[in-house]
Amino acid sequence: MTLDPIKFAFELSELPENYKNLSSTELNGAVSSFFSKYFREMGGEATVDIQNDYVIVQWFPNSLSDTENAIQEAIDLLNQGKISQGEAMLAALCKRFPDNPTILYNYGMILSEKGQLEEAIDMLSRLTEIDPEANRAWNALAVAHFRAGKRTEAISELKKSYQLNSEDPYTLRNLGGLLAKESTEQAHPYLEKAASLLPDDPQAQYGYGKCLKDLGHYDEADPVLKKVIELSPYSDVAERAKEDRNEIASIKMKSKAGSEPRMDAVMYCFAALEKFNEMDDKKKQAVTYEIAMLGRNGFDLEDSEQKYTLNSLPGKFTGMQLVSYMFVGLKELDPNLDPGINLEDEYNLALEMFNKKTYS
Amino acid sequence: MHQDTQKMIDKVEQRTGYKVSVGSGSDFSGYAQMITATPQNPIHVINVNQNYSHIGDYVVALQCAMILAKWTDPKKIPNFVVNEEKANYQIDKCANNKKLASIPSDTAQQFAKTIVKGLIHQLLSLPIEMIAIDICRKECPNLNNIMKTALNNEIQELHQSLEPRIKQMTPEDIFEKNAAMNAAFTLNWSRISGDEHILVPFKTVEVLDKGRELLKVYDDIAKTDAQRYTKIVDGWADKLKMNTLYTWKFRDETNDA
Repeated sequence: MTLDPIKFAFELSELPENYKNLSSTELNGAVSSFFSKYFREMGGEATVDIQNDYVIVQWFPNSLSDTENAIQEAIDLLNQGKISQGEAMLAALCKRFPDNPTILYNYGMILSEKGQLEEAIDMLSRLTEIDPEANRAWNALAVAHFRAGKRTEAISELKKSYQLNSEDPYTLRNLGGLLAKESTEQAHPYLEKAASLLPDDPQAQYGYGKCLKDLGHYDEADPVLKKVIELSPYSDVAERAKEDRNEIASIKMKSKAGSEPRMDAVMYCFAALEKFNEMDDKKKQAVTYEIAMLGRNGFDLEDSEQKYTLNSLPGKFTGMQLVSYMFVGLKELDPNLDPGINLEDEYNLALEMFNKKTYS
Repeated sequence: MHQDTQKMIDKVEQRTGYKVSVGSGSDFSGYAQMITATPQNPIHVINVNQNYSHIGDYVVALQCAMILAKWTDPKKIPNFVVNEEKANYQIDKCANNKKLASIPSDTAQQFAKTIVKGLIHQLLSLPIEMIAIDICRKECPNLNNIMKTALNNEIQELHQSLEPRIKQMTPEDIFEKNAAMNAAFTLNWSRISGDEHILVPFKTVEVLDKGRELLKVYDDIAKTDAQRYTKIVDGWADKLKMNTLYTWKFRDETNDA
C-alpha cells in the first residue's frame, strides 16, 4: 500500500557543503541521488525535482511506520543542529498530520525559537488541547507566551505544567524565573529544586544563585554563581554571574565594616593617591587598566594575603589593595566610570588625609 | 576552562610577561576580540563572542597561539599598519568599478570600503591563524574536536564568499585575491583534516592553483624562523600585489617594558 505523498521543500543553500557550487547538470544528478537515497532509507519512494532555489521532494511512504521514521528523522536533524532541514521536514509533515503531538511540539518549539510567536502559540495551544496531560506542552506554550510578552498566561500555563509534573526541571526553572521577578521568596523553592535537578545547566544554576543573592544569602549564592562561570565561561550568563559575585563581594566588604569606612581601604586609597601623584597619566592609565581587566573575574576581598601581582607596578597586593588602587585611578582619570564597587567614603577620607599631608 | 586552554594562557603569560584576561561579549563580530598587551595596556584581553561560546576553549587557545606567534622575538613584535592613502585609493578604484555602477555612489563607496578593508584584514589574519592552528594542534591535542567544529564553521563562511551573487557584485581583482587567500587557508586545513570536499567550491571558481602558490609561501618559511609571520604576510602580499597597502612597525618589548 502507498499512502498519499508528502511534499518537502528544502532550500538549496541548506545542502551539505559538497553539493554546493556544482554545475547545474552535476547538481541535478547529485541532489536527486542524495534525496532519493535519504528518503528511501526511511521507507517508501521519493521523486526529486529542483526548482529555482529549492529541492522539491515528493515522498510516498508505504506505511504509517515510514511516517514515524520521517518524524524521527526530522527530530534527529534538529538534534544535530541542522535546523533548516529539520524545520523543512516538520513543516511538510505538519501540513499532512496537523494533529500529531510530536510534530506539533517540535515544530511549535522551532517557531517559538525563531520568533514566529503567533504561529508557535497556535500550534502549541492545539497541542495542549489534543494532549492536555502533557506537561511539556504547557511548558513550551508558556515559553512562547512569555516571548510574546504575555506573562500572566505564561505563569498560569507553567503552574498547570507544574501541577501535572512537579519534578520537571524545566518547568521549575521557568516558573521560578518568572516568579522571581515579583517575589524572590516565592520563586526560591522552584529554583532550588530546578538547580538540584539540573546541576549542569548554567541557566538553572544562575537562576538559583541570583535568587539566593537577592534574598541576601550571600555565602550560599557565591559558590552557585561561581559554578555558573565554570559551567559556561564564555556566555552572557557567566558575565552576569561575574557581576553578581562582584556585587556580593562589595556588599560583604561594606557590611563587615558596618556604617563606618573600612580602614584598610582608606589606607590603600591613601597609598594609591601617593603613588599616583608620582605618575603621569599614561602610567596611571596602565595601572588602572591592568587592575580593571585583571579583576573582571573578581578579586578576593576577604583574604588579607598579598597574592596578586601586576605588570605595571612592582610588588604583591591583596584584593582589597588592588580594588582601592583601581577606585583611585578611575577617580583621577575618569570620575564618570563605574568602578563596580563603592569606596566613596574611604576615598574621601583618604583624599582629606592626602591633601592635609601634601598641602600643609 | 579546559586544561589545554589554561596551558596556552600560562605560556602566553610566561613568554610575554603580561597576564591574560578572558571574558566574553556579544557586541563584536568574529570569534573573538583581542587586545594585545603593550606597556600602556599591560594585560592581554581576550573576549570570546558569546555566539561561539560552545567553542570558547578553542577560541581562547587560538588567540593565545596568535600572541605566541607574534611574540617569537620580544625585541621585534610586529604591528601591521595599514597605509591609509593607498587603501583609500583602492577603495575609490573599487567603488568606480563597472560592477558597482548600478548602485548609488554612497552605497558603492561603503561597499568598496568594506571589501577592500576585508581583503587587507584577510592578509593580516589568515597567515597568523594558520600558524596558530599549527601551534594549537601541537600544544592542545585535547581541543582537536572543538578545533574541527570551529574550522568547519569558518570554512563554510569562506565558501559563502564564493557564492555567485557575491562574485557578481565584487570587482574581479578583489574577488580573486580574497578567494586565493581563502583557498590557501582551506588547502591547509584540508591536508590536516583529510577532507577534500571542502576544496570543491574553490575548484569551481578556479582559484586552487593560486591558493597552492600561497600555501607554498607558507610552507617555505621555516617554522623556526622568528619572523615567520611577517615573512608569510609579505610573501602573500608580493604574490597578490598588495605590498603597498601596509607597513610593519616593530616594537622592542625588552626596551619599552
